[in-house]
Amino acid sequence: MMQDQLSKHIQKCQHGDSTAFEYILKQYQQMIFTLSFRILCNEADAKDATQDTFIKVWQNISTYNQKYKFSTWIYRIASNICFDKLRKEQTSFDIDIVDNIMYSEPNQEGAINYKELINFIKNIADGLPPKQKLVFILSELEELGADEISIITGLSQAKIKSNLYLAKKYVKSKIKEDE
Amino acid sequence: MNDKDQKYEMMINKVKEIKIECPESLTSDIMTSINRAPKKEDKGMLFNLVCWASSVAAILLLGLFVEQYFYTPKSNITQSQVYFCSYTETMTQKDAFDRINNIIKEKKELQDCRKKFYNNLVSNH
Repeated sequence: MMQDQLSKHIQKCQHGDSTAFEYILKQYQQMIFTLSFRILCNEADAKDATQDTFIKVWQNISTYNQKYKFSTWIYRIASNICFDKLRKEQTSFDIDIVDNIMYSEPNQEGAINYKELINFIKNIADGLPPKQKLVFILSELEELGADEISIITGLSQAKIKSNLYLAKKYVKSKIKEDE
Repeated sequence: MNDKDQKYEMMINKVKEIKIECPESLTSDIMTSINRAPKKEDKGMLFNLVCWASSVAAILLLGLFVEQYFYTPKSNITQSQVYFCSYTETMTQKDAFDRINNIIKEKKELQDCRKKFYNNLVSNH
């Protein structure tokens, strides 16, 4: 039912209906923002990446192939945008951002959690190459299967396995170091 | 599962549970950007239109070529025949040779007659 509704809205979008696009945006913006935040570790960059993703989705929705899951397609666009940002900047973490996030988060407990998340991702970001980081986040945090990651990243299953193995090994060693 | 793996799993689960809140203004910001951003569809449609037009033109040209090459009636005259053609009639190579032979024969006969006439004239004088 949900899938049918989504297909209808996609078709409407393909004919230029921006109201239908708003429905899709509301369905997927949380998912894309979370992914972008986990990869880029920065609220402003995550917001920019989400915005860029949906602009690209709007511009290219006529090329969307219905044989793939829509979420996979949208994940692919978002991953490419985040991956490009990572490669360009190799995002360096700034403590001011944590303070901003803590300030903008009304719940104190939530703010601590955010800090914990950022610290965790920062540990990974400092050492992992962009490709390994992307595969790690898609697999371990977004809980996507190898098939879907393969479609999203364009990497073979063997490469995904090896990247994931190296990333996990690195993260585990970092956890040990922190202790 | 060893201690290191357990700690890793615990940490991953903890991080996964953290709910990241999307900024409230994001939807309106994206919608504003989208209304400003042109759709790529128009460019694609124009390209498709050009593709269609050129393929139709190519098919028409191919049809014209096939029609010219296979269905237009050809002249029966070969190159060797053309050489022996007059303006009004067509003839085969053999006919042409026969006619030439006849002309040569007629000329020879005429020459013989002249020769005889001169010989008679000289002998009479």
